[in-house]
Amino acid sequence: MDILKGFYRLLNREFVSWTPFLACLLAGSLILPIMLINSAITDEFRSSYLQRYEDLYAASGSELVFLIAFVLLCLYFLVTIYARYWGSKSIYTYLTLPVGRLSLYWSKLAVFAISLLLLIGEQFLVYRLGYSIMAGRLSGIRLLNSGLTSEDINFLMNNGFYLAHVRSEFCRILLPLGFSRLLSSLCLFMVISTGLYYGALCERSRKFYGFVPVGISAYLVVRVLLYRMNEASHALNPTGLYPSSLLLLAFAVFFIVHGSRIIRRGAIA
Amino acid sequence: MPFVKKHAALLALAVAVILVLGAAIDVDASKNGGIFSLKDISGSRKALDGVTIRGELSDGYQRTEFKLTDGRLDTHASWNGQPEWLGTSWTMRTGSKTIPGRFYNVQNEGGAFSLSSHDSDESGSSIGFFKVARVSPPLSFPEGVLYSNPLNYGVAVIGERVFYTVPAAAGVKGKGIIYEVNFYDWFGSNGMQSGEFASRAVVEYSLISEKDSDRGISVLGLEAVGDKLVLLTEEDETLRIRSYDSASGSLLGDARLPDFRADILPTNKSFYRASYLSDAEEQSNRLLLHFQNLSLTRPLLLSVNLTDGAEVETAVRMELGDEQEEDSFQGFTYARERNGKLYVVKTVREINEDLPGFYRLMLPLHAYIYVYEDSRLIYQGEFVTDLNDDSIELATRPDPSRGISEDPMRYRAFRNLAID
Repeated sequence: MDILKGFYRLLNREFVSWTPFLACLLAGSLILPIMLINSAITDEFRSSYLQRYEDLYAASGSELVFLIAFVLLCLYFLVTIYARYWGSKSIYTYLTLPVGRLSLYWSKLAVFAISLLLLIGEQFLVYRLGYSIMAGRLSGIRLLNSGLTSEDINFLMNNGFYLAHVRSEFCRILLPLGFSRLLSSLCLFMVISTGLYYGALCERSRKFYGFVPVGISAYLVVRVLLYRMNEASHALNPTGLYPSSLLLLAFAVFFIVHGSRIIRRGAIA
Repeated sequence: MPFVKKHAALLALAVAVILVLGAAIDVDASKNGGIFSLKDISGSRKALDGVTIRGELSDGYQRTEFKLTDGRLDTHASWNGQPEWLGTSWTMRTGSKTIPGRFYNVQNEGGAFSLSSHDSDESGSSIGFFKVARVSPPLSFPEGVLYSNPLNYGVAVIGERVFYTVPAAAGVKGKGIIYEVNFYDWFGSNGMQSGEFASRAVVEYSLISEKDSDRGISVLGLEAVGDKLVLLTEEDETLRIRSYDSASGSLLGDARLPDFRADILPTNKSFYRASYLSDAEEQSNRLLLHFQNLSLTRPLLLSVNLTDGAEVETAVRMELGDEQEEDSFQGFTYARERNGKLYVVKTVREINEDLPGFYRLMLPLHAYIYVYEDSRLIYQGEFVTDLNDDSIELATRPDPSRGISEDPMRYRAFRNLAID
């Protein structure tokens, strides 16, 4: 029980130390896409060409904002790992604390996973908000070029949010439809968070051979993501996602087992 | 605040989970938010008693399946994990019909007609090697007279056996012959082969009208239902439907539909387009035929029963009115004869003469059910759906002349119709 209590305390302490960065990141990746979507709608009205919402969302650059936020979060994760070796060198204090070195490993990983989940969850909020903005602005408009008004045509698709969600590759990755997609997304999520941490631990403990599995899993992640970002164009020769998911899962388990062993042995000191 | 600080991670996790689960529940709950209902337009819905009409309105990502039993409509919406390629109305057709997994091309090579058989994949595009067969019918073509339809309208397939007759236009001299052809590998293992795969003449028919020996007949096409061959010709302003035994070539039945004229490029509004569509229903030995007329507003639907000879059970000359027309681009027609009635599910497009041609393809489509008894309309209903919402982006496109897509991945369409 004491170990769990220690872990819980460490987890919250770690999370609190992330909050200033996280707050800025989440605020940025909420406000920026909303502004981008809004201006993309304005551009649409000017050119009189109304795209579907999923296309508008992609064209507005909102997906790119998510990607940048994701990369920033990963970088920050690495920074928090390395920061303990700089300045106060707090890693040495942590390693001598009576909380157990595994708690150290798990708390850091958990905080990163929670932050990533927050960022992803926020995307759904952005997608929904963006849709509401578009829906609101589509009523009572006149397109400048063609002169069509919303009285001639109802510019908004019935049940459009549902359609925009199931027809968007971006949403289909983040919020998968069906078990095989859910498993694939979960495995991607796990291998990215554990792989990043494992890579840093290998570098710190000078076990450079560890970069080999990290590299292979990175290649796999890219392959799976490329497939899933273009699923519609693979409709004629679809590939099952179970083999890649299981492989990613195996990598994630290896990263956790070996990573926590590195920490337990104090090899990173 | 100390409480928040003490449990910050857990609270954040709760927020994240709520966001993700909320989105999932939101999407799943709106699955059935689409409109799908049946609106009566004329007649009583009782006409639908005793039949089940099923099908789906789908694109590559999601579908709404529907089932109309005795006039009661049930729908079920679902999405696809892996998007599916559903095929377009452009999938390779052999003349009037689609032959699963295959299509045939026919060329005139200096008097001989060469058939090529192509295997096609799900998307309808040709794959791999193909086979060739040749026939040399005794025909001579006077100046300016050729064919009444594209050459592959003369192809009919029964299992692995392939039959061919030339869709000769009225005025072509010679003798009409239905051949059973033999294919050989083009550039096969023995190189180019010929001669050894001679075709067999199954049926011979006259190209001269029986009533007026000065007039010719025009051969519209050849069809197959079960093991019977059906020859469609236009002669003496009638549509003549002859059925033959495919093995012996003996005539089994001969039916005529009066008041029928067809042309490959009709100039007169009362003419039908020769390029008809057909649908063979083997279990009940029926052939369904669909002719479009020049103005696209008065199609002709025929149900031919071949059980005992050949009999035109139902002949419907539909009147779509002034405000809508058949859609030769994306429209479809599905018809079945059941319980002495002809059930038709059909999409038609609204007309707006003011719009330039391209924009007309963006006008709303309507999906109707028609029920005919003794060739008279007894019921008409409309499937009210969101189908037309998909073309909003097209309707607002500044320059549609760049082409508009019929991408089955992104545009919903009615598919997999069945009437039992």
